Amino acid sequence: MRFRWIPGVAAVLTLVLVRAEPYPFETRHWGEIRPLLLREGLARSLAKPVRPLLIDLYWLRALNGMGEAETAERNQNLAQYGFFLTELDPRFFHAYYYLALVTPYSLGGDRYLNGELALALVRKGLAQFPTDIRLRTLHAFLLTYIEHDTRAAVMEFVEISKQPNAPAAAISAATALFVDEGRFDEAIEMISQAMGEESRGGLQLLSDRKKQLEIEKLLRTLDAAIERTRQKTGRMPQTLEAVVEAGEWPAELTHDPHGGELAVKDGRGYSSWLVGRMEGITRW
Amino acid sequence: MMNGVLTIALNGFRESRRNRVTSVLVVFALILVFSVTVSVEFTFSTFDRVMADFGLGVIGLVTPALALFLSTGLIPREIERRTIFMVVARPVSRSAFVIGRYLGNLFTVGFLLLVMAILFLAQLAIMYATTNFGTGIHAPHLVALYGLALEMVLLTAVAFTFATLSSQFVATLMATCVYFIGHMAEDLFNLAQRTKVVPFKLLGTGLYYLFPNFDRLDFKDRATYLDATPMGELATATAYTAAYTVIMLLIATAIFERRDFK
Repeated sequence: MRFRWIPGVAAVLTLVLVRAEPYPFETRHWGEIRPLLLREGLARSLAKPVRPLLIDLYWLRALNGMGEAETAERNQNLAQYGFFLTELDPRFFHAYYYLALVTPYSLGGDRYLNGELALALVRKGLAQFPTDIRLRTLHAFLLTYIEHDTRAAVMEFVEISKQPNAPAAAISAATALFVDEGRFDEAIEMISQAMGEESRGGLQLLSDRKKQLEIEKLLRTLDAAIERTRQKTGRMPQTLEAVVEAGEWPAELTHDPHGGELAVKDGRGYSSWLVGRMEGITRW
Repeated sequence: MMNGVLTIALNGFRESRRNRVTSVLVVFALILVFSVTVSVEFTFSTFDRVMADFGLGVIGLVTPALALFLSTGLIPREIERRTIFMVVARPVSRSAFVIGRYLGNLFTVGFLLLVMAILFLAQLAIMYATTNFGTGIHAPHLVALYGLALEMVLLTAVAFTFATLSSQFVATLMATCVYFIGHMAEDLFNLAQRTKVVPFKLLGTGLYYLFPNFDRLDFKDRATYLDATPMGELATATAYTAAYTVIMLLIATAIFERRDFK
């Protein structure tokens, strides 16, 4: 009886050590991953002898969480696991990548919740793995859909495309920057070079992109001819024939190099081969 | 002298083998190590990592527990049951008795560690041979197991020293504290270097050198990423363990020589 204060002190100490702050997020939903995370200091010190085991236990818990029904809270909690795991093991690539991947919660359209958390986790990962293509690609996607900064996203693709094992999709997306600046020859050269590399995957994608770039280059010339026609006649030409009749377009050039029929609509040139037009960085 | 030490060591090994608690712990440890295979079923893409971390983590949990439990119980139990008088009455010095008991304990825990290590390595090899994932057995896995063996040698010596001067409960408590402090030794050192208060700095640095640095023997992190450990680091870790163990055993024998069992 003399020592009955011991369990009390031990209980209070445990409470202080294990959780000194309220749980960061709602934890009352049954069946939802709960961020019952140790304080980092405690995990680093007392659990040090078994730190890899502890990290992997939390990692398995996070993976189980990914399998649960998706809610904004679940995704938010998964991000917290990501921050916790990467704090304990900054080299844990999978924790950055997979947990950032599942963190944004789609509200439909281009609207997302938890996007900032995902971006923060990816940026934390990029500080460790600055050249990792998967992380950089995810960063580019998040820049596009969360921050709506397509220029920054395309710049990210440009950086990815400089790497020797860059995926075809990233090279293709990187050309949007050149399209935006009207540097078609450079974009076509970039694609041709990538296509010429041995064991390059995604050749069809690159080939299609090259055709798009060649057609877009021609359509930009047609756009200029349409504008000159408008200035000359005082009216916006409605057909390709009207541009030809104004002497601003060669009559024999009715198809693009890939067989698409050229047309004029709403003051812009179009090709039947190309759906719409390449809009540069606004649509990479 | 050597024959006496060896006889005591082998007797200790046999005694531990007959101990039911040891048997239960062994079965528990083996189940845990086997369960590593199951843990891999709950993950994706990180099979090697989970396998290595779980395997080494489980061994890293069980080995110190066994070392602590077995080391701290032997001598206090001998004293409690009065069987110590039968030993000290024989022409065996008290130092030989302590060292013999220590070695016997080391055989027991070392044998269990060996069994767990073989199981773990077999799991790695089987996973590599039968599935598409897994990288098999690599040097960092063996280095991590070697680190655990060094930790066991040192922790057993520390626990033995405490057991020579106190009861099993107190010895276990103190040895457990030293185990955790030893794993935080580097943090203690870094903390001491950051403070501007000179006495704290000296105290922190002094404690760092006083307590065994178990962090130095922990290579489990490296096994996770298959990072190589330089031979020089392994050699100094081994020398450190050997030196610290010798000091601990010298202290233990000095205490035991002077101890009154009445």
